[in-house]
Amino acid sequence: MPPKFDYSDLRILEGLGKYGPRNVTGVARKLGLPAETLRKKLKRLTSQFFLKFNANIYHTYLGLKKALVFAEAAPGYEDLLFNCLRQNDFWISLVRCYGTFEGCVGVFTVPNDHCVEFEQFLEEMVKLGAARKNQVFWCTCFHAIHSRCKWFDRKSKTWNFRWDKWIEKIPNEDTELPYTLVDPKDFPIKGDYTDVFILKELEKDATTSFTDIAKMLGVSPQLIGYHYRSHLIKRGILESFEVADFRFGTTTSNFFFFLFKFDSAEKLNKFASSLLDKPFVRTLGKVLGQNALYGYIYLPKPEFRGFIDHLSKLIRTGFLQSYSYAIQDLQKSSRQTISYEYFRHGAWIYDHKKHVHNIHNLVKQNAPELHTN
Amino acid sequence: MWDEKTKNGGEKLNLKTALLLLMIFFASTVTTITMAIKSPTPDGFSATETAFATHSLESGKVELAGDPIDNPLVGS
Repeated sequence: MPPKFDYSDLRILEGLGKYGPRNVTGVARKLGLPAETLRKKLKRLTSQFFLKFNANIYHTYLGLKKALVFAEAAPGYEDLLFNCLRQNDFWISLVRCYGTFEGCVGVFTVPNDHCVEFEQFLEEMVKLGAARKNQVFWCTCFHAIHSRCKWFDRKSKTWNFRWDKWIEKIPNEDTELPYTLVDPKDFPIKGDYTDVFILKELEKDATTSFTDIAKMLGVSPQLIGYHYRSHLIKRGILESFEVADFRFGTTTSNFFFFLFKFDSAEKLNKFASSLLDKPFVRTLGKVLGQNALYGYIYLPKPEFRGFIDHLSKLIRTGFLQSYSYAIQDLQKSSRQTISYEYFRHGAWIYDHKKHVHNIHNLVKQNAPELHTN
Repeated sequence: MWDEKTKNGGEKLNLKTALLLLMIFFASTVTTITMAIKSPTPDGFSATETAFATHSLESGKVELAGDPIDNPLVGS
């Protein structure tokens, strides 16, 4: 039987997400634990479970706009579509998905002045026949949710999903959202190459030392420390940290990409606020200029129906307008860091012609029957 | 005589002091220049720059865009 997290494990993981995994002594102090105890527990947790610590970038402050893409594959060309999407240099997550449609879900961080070209890139895949439909939702940065202990029963060491109580409280929730879920006014570039390089290393492993990063860049650790504190933290470019785990088990749970639509901003805000402390939500993002919310939802398989039933109730009471979702195929999911190679002299290099040329080549090589059509 | 000796001695001392000051000044300048040559600037790229230069953007074959993250879960 696979090992399970207990309450103290979850409390530690929640703390590491909230306060960041770089200062274990500081996290121990916040949690009221001796630092050595926390180090020992962490060692045990990392040896027993899948655990990853990654940094979350506030891409808005690097001039990048987040695009959430739902790409429906033309039957027979599912993998081709996945590889076509990879041809754009600015993807950060690409997964095969199933459920409502067979295809891909992609997250891209597109330089703000190249959004039109990005949409043309997606249209090109439809024209070539690799995709039936590509839908893009321009979003705010994704807000990470660290909650793990809520709804967890210490005695039985299981979660108790209180769906009824959740929807009951939504109308009384806060209407103020964190800045990460508010449409940004602009997309300034607040960082330099060193900042971007540090971020991409912390995206891979948030515990990487300044000394190691300094060696990669051939500069002093003090300089890396300066960039970290005075640029990344002070200017808000480094938004938060995330702890990745499979607390509901790997084979007994699923990850979903949900899109929730509302008829007013107030309803959206209340709904989003209700999710900020829930253990089944990993990230949230608001669709720019619309009353729509993206949610990366993590559920034990038996709880899926309960969640859907309660969304259905919210629709009947007029709180929610509609919802749609795709299920992540973990067997075919890729993720990569910010495209630091394309950041030069304080600006992003976005080569639209190359992206389009690459997908044409890919289709020509792998599906010549489509290319001749 | 006494005055002259003192004057000459004083001139020699001034010359020595000037030379010493000059040496100190140049020593620090030379050190600064050496350090500047040896230490890369904050925006120096080392291995990354080399990799980027080798695989030029124009080739269209290279897919250098970020580093892979060993985590299948979608980030923030």
